[in-house]
Amino acid sequence: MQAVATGWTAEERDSTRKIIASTQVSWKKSFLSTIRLFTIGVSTIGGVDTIASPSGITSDWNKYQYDDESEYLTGLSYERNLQVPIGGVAKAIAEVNLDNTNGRFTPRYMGGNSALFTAVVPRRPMIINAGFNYNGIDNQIPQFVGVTTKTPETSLRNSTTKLQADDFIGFLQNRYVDNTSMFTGLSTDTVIGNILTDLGYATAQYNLDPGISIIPFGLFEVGTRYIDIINKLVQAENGNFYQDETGVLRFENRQHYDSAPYTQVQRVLATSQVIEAKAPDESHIINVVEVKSQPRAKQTNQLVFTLSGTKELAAGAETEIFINFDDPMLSIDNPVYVANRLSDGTGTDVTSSVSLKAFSKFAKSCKITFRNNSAATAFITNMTMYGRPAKVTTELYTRMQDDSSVTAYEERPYKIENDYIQSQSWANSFAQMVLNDFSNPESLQEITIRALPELQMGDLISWQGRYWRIYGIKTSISPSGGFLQTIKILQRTIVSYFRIGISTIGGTNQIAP
Amino acid sequence: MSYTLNSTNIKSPNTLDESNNSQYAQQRTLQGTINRDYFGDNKRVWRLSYQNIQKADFDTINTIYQAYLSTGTAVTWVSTETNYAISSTNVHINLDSRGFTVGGEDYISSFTLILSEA
Repeated sequence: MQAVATGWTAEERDSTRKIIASTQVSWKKSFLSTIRLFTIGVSTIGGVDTIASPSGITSDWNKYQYDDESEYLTGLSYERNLQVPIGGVAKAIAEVNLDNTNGRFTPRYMGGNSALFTAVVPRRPMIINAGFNYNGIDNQIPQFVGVTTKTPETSLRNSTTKLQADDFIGFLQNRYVDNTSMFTGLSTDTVIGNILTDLGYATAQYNLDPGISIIPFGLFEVGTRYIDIINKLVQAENGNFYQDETGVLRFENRQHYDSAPYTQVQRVLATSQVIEAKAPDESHIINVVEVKSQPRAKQTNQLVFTLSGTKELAAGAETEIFINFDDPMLSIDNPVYVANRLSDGTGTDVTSSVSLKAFSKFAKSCKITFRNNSAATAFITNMTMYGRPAKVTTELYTRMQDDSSVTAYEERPYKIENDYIQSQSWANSFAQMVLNDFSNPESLQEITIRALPELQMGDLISWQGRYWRIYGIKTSISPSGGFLQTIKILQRTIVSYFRIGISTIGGTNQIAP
Repeated sequence: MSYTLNSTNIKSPNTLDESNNSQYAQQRTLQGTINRDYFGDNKRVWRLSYQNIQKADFDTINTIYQAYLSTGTAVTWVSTETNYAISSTNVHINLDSRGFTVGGEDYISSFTLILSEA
């Protein structure tokens, strides 16, 4: 939950609230690395210094020059949902409706002539803040940071313009691996950190929990989307990767919500705050879970290739040989070969006349170029190669089911296939955790409330005497509906997990999964 | 003492009506309480009704209205009447219809000027 003042808490529960929302767009995407964040005692009110995000977060998106379009705002909505049931990457989206009576957002090809007509194009940074006016002062907190996804939709008849945006997860969805790379023995957070660094993110722009899994081997093949790699890694841990309201990318491992402040109720929802409560249909029920994994790990240097048959090398020429391996190769030694004048190896040994001209190594193959320096045809009659492959070390499989749920709803299977799952015990725990949360229809609910904009993913709330954890928030601000949130919540029993130095052996605290 | 629209004195209306325009959404919660979310400040709307007005007085108002339509910019509205003072307020203009009560050469008309606080 974002930190808010006492006055805010009182105002949001007041029967009459004054809603404040703002939208800034960097139409011209002007980036000023020298932008100074507003500093009390240094900056001047009305000056050019930008107001920083809360908690002193300085992210690159702060350094764009923004136009404040709040006075044209007629409605907006934004949505952020964690992936259930197994976690992964979650993207937030937003939509903003603007009044365009004065033609400010009309592009030139539609007759626009405002200062913005050349700037109204997609991929523009956008910020949404919202809150309340109380004690005569506008108080807002961050709600969304991202970039517009397409050219604004303009209606001349209705004099309106609509903007749609993704958060920076959307940017990651469009970035592809352009060089195959491998890693060994890294934790999930280290791999994600390396990816974000490669993509130009500063460390202030992300916050990564320590990965619980150490991945013995990973391979990023050319053409794979980075977001798919991150998704797979994060799902293997049952963690979440998303961008929060302040623009910070977050990796939260599966134990993230097992300690304070997530074990304490952040807000108690009264029925005077709730407009609608809906039990979702039974489509979310999962009562049979299968987990499959074929984890790989690097091996010691070993024989990885033996030439079958012979390879003819023309006199005085270069000959290329392509070799495919069964497994990804972390290292490949130069080939050891024997050349002979005759294909059956009974002629003169001419190994000294054949040189290794080039040796190109790829993730799962290699290209060898031999040069036959002699004036007669030669044959490679024997060739072996040694290297360090990353082999499938074990095949993990588990199948679990909730019998009572199966009896009630018939089989509702869910399959998890992820080669980054490393151990049978975690596969078992993972399957059991999914069953615990999703085999019973009472575990989920969707409620519409008068908005509490400080709520965030993972916050624990109390509703109808039970504890629930938020995994989705859709917020809308409109003159017809008001300031509303539809929150998706998952019922939780708070468990105290064992912590070294705090818990006692033989006590009631459980070992975290 | 006068009514001034876009810095031009206009004829006093026969009747003047001021109303409030607040934008709010109302919700009824499961408990039954009714709550309201207000957006922006309260905005006033003035309806100035003119009956049997000379053409010159209409033209003065219509010129301001046409300029407003042309520029799309709200204009200032001021009343310095002793018991009904309005400090300078930006307003949008509506001059939707004009009815002629006397034809011939005079074209005496009646109309309503609506001013909505910007």
